[in-house]
Amino acid sequence: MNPQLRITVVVAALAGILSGGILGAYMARKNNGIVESARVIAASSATAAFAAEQFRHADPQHAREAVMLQIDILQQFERIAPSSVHERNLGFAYTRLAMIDEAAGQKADSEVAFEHAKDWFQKVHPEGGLTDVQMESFVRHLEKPPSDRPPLP
Amino acid sequence: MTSVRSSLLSTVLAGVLAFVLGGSLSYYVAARLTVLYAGPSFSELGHAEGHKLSRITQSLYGLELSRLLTQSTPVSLQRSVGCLRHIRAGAPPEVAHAIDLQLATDYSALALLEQQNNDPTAAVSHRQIAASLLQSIGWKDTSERALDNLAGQYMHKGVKP
Repeated sequence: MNPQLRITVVVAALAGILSGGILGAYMARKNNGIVESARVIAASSATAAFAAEQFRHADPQHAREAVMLQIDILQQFERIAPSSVHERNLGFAYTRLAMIDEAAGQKADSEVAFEHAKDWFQKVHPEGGLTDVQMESFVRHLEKPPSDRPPLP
Repeated sequence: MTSVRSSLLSTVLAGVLAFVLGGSLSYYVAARLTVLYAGPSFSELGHAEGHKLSRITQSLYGLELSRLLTQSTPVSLQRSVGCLRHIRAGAPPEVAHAIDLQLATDYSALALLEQQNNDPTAAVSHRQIAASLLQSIGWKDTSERALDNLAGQYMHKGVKP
């Protein structure tokens, strides 16, 4: 191998290793981010669906556990990256929790949960506060199949 | 003149080959190392909490994928049941009930299809499993009608025929 060829091969290989390494690390980080986002969306959706089903069909203790799982996970997502979607879902989740506690005769717990619900809805809609009745009617509205839902006032 | 041109061409080709080979190899190694040493997801929460949330979201991701990809055929539902049991075995206890609900839904859908296909023995057996799973997660009504409603709603909404 002549010296010119050797130098060319070494320089080209080094340039390839450097650029391949940078690109590989960048793409892996990007893919990790995409997978993490997909997991956040899936976890939000799965816990919301589970909480809604349990709220409709399970006894108060199990319904409460399902709603608490949703709240716990959404609050952790909020700590990592606040989002209005999570804030709104937290508002609904706390409203469900308040309704479960109210039905179980836990008036004080229910009031605390309604306060949390108001705080989360307030973050999404700072201009107007919602009453407990309005929050309940939103949740009851969402419980119905889309075809049976009357238009909201 | 020809010899100079040929020498130049071979130098360029060797350079391109070295660049591509070195680049491919280091791309693969860097990507693997980045994935291996990237640290846990949700590390903003600290190691223990981030790791726990990572395990929870991984299980729920599997649950959602199973729900989205399952079709209303006995083979697809059986495969989904297998996947969900596998996910449940490695899932944190917090999400076990959510997986149980999906398992019960799949068993109810299986039972409904088996009943339509004149296989009442299998339908009864799968309905019993579904009912027992739903009772374990606190469902108040686990009658045949409630299970058929659950299956019908699922097959109508999410599972594509």
